[in-house]
Amino acid sequence: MTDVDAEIIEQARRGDPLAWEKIVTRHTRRVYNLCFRFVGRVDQAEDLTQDIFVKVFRNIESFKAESGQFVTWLMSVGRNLLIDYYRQSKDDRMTVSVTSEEDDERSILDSVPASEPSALAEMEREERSVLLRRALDRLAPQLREAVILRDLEELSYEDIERILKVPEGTVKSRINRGRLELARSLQKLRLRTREI
Amino acid sequence: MKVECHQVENWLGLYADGVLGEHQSSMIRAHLGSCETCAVLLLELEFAIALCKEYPELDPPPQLIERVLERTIGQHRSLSWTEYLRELFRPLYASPRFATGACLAAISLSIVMNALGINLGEVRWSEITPQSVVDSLHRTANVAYDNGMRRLNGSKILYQIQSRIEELQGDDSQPQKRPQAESESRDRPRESSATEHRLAVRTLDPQCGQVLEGATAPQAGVL
Ligand SMILES: [Zn+2]
Repeated sequence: MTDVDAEIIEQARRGDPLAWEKIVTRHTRRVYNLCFRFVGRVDQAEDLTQDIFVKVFRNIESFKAESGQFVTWLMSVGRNLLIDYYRQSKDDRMTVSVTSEEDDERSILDSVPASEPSALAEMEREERSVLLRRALDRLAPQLREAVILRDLEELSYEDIERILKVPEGTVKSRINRGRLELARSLQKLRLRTREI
Repeated sequence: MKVECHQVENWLGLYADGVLGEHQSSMIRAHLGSCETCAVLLLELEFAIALCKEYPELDPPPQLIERVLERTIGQHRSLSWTEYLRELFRPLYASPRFATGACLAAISLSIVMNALGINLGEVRWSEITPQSVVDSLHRTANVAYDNGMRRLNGSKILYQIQSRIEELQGDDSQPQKRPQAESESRDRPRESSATEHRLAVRTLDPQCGQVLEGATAPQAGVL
């Protein structure tokens, strides 16, 4: 798959718009989902997807085929932009999560609609997704991105090392701690759900 | 060598991934056999990981590729239908989830197109937005995937596609006869969430229909 990308990237570098269009068509789904997993909102995910492709378009010269797959580089550009975005909006997030955490949780759980008997199984699954979103948002940024890249994006440890530009040991330690905190957070949220 | 709970915690998230060496793994196994706290923690970890893996994959909105192209090269789509679909479904990713979703969507798309008598090579951009057709099929594919790839309701897909095509062909004055929740999910403001997305998925009735079996192999050639 790398060679297919490599050829088309070379064409895009030379300014072939059709090649660029192919790159965008190929990767939009993946980039969009990465954004959604980081920010949890579709409108922001749409805007960020556009920003990422603009950045990739401007920096496509700096992609070196020998240093790895294009998709890893793309995810890396995306992740950097998402982290910048997170830093900018961090103050807002902190205020929300500190002042109204309890209310927030309740309202999210309440907002899961009452289910018809036939839809019960699926409803539970919806609920699980809401819980996961909640728990992910509670993680420290470094741990959250490690978990997103490993368990939602299902990337290999090697790819995550390349994207985060940290050594293997650090990647493993972040994934380990991220998962533990996620698991504990989910456990707490589940217990609260039962109480309600 | 005996290990303590806090040491196990340093490894348990990786143990769940199976990336530890045999030595560490066997120490952890031994500990788990005698420590209920850590055994429960492992279950919680496995639950968390499973939850991540079932987190829904969203379909990007139809206009997103268009907007990206406008912001970068300042022009609209110019790929042909077949090229577009080929790029859209290119099995780029090692992740089985991505691969399966795209593959199923491609299969169901070609089934529907064939059933409608549409030759992909002849369809023009002005007539239809492929992404929106693909979107509805992605949903179908998700449903099929959820149901063990077995039960796909052919007539429902056809109905969906037909109403989508009618809708795209214009005449806003004519009332659209598409399923209720589907129209809700499209007309709703942009804050629609993953949850809503999944709810929309469920509007397709995944009962009966054996379209998928038998129809797959020959159709793949369309793409
Ligand atoms: Zn223990």
